[in-house]
Amino acid sequence: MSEKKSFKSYWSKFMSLNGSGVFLALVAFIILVSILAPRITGGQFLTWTNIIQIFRQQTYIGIIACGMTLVIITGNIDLSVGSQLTLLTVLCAQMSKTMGNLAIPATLALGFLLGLVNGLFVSGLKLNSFITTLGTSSMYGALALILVSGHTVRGDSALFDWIGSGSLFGVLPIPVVIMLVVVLIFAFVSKRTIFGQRLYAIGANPTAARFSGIKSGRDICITYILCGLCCALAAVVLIARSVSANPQAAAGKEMDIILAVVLGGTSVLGGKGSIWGSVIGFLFIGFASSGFTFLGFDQYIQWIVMGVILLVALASDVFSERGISIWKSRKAK
Amino acid sequence: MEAKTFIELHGITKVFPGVIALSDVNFDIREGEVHALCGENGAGKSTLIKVMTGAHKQDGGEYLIDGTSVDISSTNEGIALGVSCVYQELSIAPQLDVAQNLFIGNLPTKGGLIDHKTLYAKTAEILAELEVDSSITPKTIAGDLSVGQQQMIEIGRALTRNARCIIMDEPTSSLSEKETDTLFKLIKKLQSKNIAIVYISHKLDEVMYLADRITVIRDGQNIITMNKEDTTQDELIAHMIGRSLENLYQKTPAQQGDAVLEVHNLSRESVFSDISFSVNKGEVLGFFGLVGAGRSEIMRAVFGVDKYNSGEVILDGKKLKSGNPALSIDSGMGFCTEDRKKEGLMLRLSILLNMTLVKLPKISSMGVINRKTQASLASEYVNTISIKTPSVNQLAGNLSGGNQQKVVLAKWLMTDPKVLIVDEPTRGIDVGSKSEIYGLISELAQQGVAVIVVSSEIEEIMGICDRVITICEGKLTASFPTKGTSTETILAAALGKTVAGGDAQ
Repeated sequence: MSEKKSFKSYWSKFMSLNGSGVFLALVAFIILVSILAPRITGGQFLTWTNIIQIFRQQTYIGIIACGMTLVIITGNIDLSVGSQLTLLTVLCAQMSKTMGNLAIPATLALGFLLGLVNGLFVSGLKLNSFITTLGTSSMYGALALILVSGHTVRGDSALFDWIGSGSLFGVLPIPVVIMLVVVLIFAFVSKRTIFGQRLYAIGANPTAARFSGIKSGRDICITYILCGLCCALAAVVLIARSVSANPQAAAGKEMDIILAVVLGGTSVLGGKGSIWGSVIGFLFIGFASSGFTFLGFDQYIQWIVMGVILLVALASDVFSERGISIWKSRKAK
Repeated sequence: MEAKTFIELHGITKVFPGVIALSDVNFDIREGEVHALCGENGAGKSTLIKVMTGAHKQDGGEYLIDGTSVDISSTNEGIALGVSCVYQELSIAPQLDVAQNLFIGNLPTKGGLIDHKTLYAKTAEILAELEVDSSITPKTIAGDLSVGQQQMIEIGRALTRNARCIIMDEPTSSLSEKETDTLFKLIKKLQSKNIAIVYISHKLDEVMYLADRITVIRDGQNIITMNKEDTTQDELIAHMIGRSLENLYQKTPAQQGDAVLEVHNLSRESVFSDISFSVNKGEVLGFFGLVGAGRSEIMRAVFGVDKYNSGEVILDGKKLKSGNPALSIDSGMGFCTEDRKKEGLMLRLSILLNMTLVKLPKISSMGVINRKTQASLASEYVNTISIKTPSVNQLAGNLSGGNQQKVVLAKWLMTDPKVLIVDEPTRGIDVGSKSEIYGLISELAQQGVAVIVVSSEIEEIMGICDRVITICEGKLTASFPTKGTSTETILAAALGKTVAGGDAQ
């Protein structure tokens, strides 16, 4: 009897965590694909090679999702990450031709700058973050195209080779290690530091945050800068993987990133979410896109499915909020 | 000649869960009269209005129009029968023009399309009838109008719906003196057209000037209905207050020290002006005034969330900055706001974080929170001020109003404030929590904290404060010790009447 009860309490605790529903969906999906794939396309889905491959291809999404999570927790959004990533990849590749390894710190500095521009517009001028970052996205994307006249640029740095082909203990590729470090840092910052907890307060109720003496403008600006830095790191990882920078390779990737964050249970209404949730969201996207390929789905169909998943995730987020308030008003009566 | 009775309410009862809002209330309105409805906050005026307009359905009693029993279950049905209401919060669509606002929801159409010609012609007629400023045309954008002019448009809207009775809820609360005069002229004019007005206002001089009859309700019950000629303002106040203070207010007098907060000549354009006062260590200072008098606005400026144009705020010898609440908090000020859900709490976050939010820098090293200290601190306060919750990890939104208020109080208590401002600390809170909060305020004063209590409940002020400052229309009108001053005197001072014995600062 008591055993049953404790299972129940563990279960409800698990279900109250951010992203737990998606985690279950992910497990179910992996099992399903593992069973179906050999019959449909003859591929073995759940192999170490394939898992590492998924990570290798998608790490940049995981890295940027960390920065994006903080931005969304404050109730804002950054739609320019796809373009930031593109511009930074192109710049990083260009710079590496003349600066070599120094291109990497230079890229981080530029990422800081791109984030700062977004942050100043949103927090300084108090512009709507959706529109602002839509605008900067267009600027950053166009800049990337102009810089290289639409061509692909090859990067040239010894560090790229090391990041691209090296691995820790011979098993964990360096990009995956970088992502894990970023995840650990961001998870710690969001949950354990004053800055991180202030972000939740700002997102949950900006007015009350102000009455509690929180200078939300500064904090919001920092989240955009962190997001820019994540884009810079992701840019380095991306070049290292493919050696070259294509000014259109990362176009539209902001959708995958936002999808990862929202699937992970971070509320677009602000004040709720976690880095670990976003990691689960990231895993879901990685495994889903690979799994669809194993099932023989065409790329475009995948996009439709991803769009549907995003809409469902957003709707359930908003409805659960409304549901709670309706339930409360009923209870009050 | 007795005017014909338009609306009659007989024995109206309205019950909300746990509260009897109206109990056996009678109210009638005659054609062309101004009937004032008076009572304290929470007396049941709003509920009665809502029953009249159809927003609420009464649980008992009869609603008669022209002597016939009617069954109104929505405001639209009320409007159709000739009952319109101009609420305190105006419902003007600022982007639309005057004509569209006047006929909103009721636009003249022709073949399914809006008949603009008729719309603007009719609007011109109504504007002429309202005798508004000639600068206002049917095509003026409503958002460009002053509040007084917008209110005229709302009254005009009632006219487009052929209202026979217009209910005005605190119509002058945000009007200038000149606009108030214009409104009064319009009311007289409407009266001459046989339109009845139900006038609700805290400003008793207005009531005494305008009303033909006055009905006082208190605690959801009829107290008296009288002709204006037969009464005086003082008698009216006595009827409104009625009951004596209960033992709800437990106060142990505290030892007062030096002035800890000094406010000099604080002004914010068109909100409040020339506010000066000081609070001593261990003193509980009340700020009393009617809703809209500017009490909360003054406190917001003192705390720093709102900017002020001139004057200074000095806390413990240190000058604070306009628009910088963080500095005020660091200097030792706390502020429990009037609206705890909008300004005080993050309902979707844990009690733990809500309580410790302001304290975080003190329980952290290098920006990293010491979670053990945080949790034990929160549990300690949950126990000492008895917040009823299974765990500090619960969301603040799951708590009852009283417990939410205690979380906000705990947030500030943790910071060991020198000055704590509490704005309407017991609004919407059950009696049990109320008395606990009063006890807490008294205890704080014992510990040497200067507490400022802003309230629109006179009993609360009389019960827990050492001194009271009255505010009327953005100005400080008087300051009294609560001991030995009558409630009537304070109420009169808050209504802007000059009173003997008041020590105007």
